[in-house]
Amino acid sequence: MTIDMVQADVKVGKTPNKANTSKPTMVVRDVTMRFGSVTALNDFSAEFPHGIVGLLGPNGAGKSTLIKSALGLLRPGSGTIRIKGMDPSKDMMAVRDAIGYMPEHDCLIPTKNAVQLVSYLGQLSGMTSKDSKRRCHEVLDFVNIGEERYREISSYSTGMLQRIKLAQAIVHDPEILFLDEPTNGMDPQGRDDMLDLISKIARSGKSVLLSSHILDEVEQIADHAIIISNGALIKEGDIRSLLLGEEGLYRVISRGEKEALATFQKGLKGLGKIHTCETMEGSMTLVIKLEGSPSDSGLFHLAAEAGIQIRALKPEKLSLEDVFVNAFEGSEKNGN
Amino acid sequence: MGINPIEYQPWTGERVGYSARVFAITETIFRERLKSKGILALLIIGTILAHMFTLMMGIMIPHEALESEMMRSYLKSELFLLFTIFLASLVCAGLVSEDLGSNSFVLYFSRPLKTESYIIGKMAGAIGIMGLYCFLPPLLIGIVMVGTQTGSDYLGSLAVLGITMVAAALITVLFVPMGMMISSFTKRRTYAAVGIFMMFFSMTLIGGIFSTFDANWQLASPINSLFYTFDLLFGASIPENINGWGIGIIMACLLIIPMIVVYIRVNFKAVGK
Repeated sequence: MTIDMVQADVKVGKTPNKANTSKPTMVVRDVTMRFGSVTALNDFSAEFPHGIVGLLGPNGAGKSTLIKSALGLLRPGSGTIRIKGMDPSKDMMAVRDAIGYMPEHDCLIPTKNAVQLVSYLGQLSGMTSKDSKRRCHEVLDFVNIGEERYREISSYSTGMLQRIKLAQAIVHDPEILFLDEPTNGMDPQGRDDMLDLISKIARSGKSVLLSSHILDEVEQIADHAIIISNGALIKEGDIRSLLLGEEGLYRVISRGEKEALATFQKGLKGLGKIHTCETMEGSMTLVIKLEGSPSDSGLFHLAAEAGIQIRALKPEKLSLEDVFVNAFEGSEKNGN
Repeated sequence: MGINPIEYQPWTGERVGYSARVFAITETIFRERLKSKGILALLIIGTILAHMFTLMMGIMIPHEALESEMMRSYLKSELFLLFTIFLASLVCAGLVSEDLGSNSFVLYFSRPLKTESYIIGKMAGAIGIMGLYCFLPPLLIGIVMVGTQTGSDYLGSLAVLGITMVAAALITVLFVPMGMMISSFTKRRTYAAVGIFMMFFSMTLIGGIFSTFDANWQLASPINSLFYTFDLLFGASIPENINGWGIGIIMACLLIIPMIVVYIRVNFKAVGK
C-alpha cells in the first residue's frame, strides 16, 4: 500500500488498511440464541476484523442480542463467541474490561453531572478515584463537552447525551468499542462530529463495532460491513469490495441521435446483460454486465458503428444502501 | 464546545482489583445520601430526639454498671424505631429504582461487575448511612455509660456493650434488604419510599389482626420480630406462646428473601432493554 493511499484513508476517516490484516477482534461461530419461540440469532457466524466494522440490519435482526452475548449478558444456546481469544461466558470480567459499550437507548443517570457520572463509571471499570477524575476531564474534552459538564445530565440536549454516552464508553480506554446507534437523534452537524470522533478513536488503534441503520454513516467511516437479518448473516465484506459491486458491471453514458442510440442499445444486448437503461434527450445511461474488459468486448466498435459518442465508461459502484437491498433480496430468494 | 478540545488519548494507568470497584459503588451511595437534605435532617433530628436524651440521662444519673435492661429498653424505644424506618425509607428508596428509572443497569453490567457485587455495593452504602443512626450512637452511649459507671464490674458492662453492638448491627442491617427489595419493584423513588414505610406498617397491621388467632402471627411484623430478638439477646423472657425458633427463622427470612428477590429483579432487568 502506498503512503498516498494510507493518507487518503485517514482523510476520509477510515482506519489504514494495515489494521485490517491483523487478527480478528471478535469471532462468532454458529451462535444460536432463542427466547421462547423467537430465534434471535440463528446459527450466526462471522469474523469481526480490526478497524471500524458496521453491523447492519433492520430492527429485530439480532444486533443487540449479538452485542449482549459478546458482553456476557446473555449466554448463547449453542455456538461460541471469542473476543480477543476470550470466551465472554467464562472470562466475563476480562472481556468487559476490554470493551467499551455505548448503548442506543437513554441510560444516563439524570441526577448526576457529566463529571460525576463519567468518573464514577471509570472507577467501576477499574480506575482509581484520582485517575478516573483526571481521565474523565480528558474524555469530556475529547467529546467536546465544555462547562456544561458540571450541569445535571437531565438538562442536556440529545446531542450532548450521545457525547456523554461515548465518553463513558471510552473512559477506561478499552481496546474494543461497541457503539449502538451512536448518532441517534443528532442534528447533521452533531452527526458529522460524532463520526469524526469515532474515526479518531479508531485511528488510535481501537476496534469499533458500529451498529447502525443509517447506511450513509457506515459507508462514510467503516472498513468492513456485516449485514444481519433474522439472526443470520446475509452478507459481509470489506466496504470497498462491497461497494465495487459485481465484477464486470459497467455504467456507460452515451450521446447521439435517438435512432443511433436505439441501434447501440440493441447491439449491446449481444455483448452482455443490460441491468438498467435510461434515455433522455439524446443521452443514454445504462448499466451493463460485460464479459471481459470493455475494449475486448467490442463496445467501442459498436459505438463507432452506431455513430454515437461514449461520454463516460466506469465500473459500476454501489452505495451501501444498494448492497443492503441486494443482500436482502438475495436472502429472501434463499428463504432466509 | 469543549474547554480544551483534544485528540483521543490513551489511558496509561493501572487497573485496580474488582473489590475496589464494588467499594466505588458503596462510597458513591454513602456520599450521595449524606448530601441529601432530607436524610441529613432525619439524622440530626433523630439523633437529638432518640439518642441525646438517653446519653444525657446516662451521664447524669449515677449507675454502677451498663445494664442490659437499660440498653434493651433504649433500643426498643418507639421513637428510635420510627426514625429508623423513616431513614430506611429515604436511604433505600433510590437504591435500585433510580437505575430502573434511568435504564442505567446497562452502564453497570457492560462493565466488569457481577450482579451480586452491584447489590453488595449498594447495600453496603445504605448500611453505612443507617449505621450512623442505628449503630454508632448506641455504641457511643454504651461506651460513655461504661466510662461513667461507679461500680467495678467492667467485664459485665463490656458483655452488655458487646450485646448492644450485635443488637445495633441487627437493626442497622435488617431494614436495608427489605428497602432495597421494594426499591427494585418501581422506577419511582417516591413510590419506593412510601412503599417501604407502608410495608412495615402493613405487616405490623396484618400481624396484629391475625395474632388474635395465633400469637406467633405477631412475628409477621419485622418490628415485633426485631423486638423479640432484642429480648432474647439481652436475656429477657419472651411470651410463652411465641416460638423462639420462629423468631430466628423470620429474621433470617427478612434478611435473605429480599436479597434473593433483588438479585432476580436486577438480573432480569440487566439484560432487558
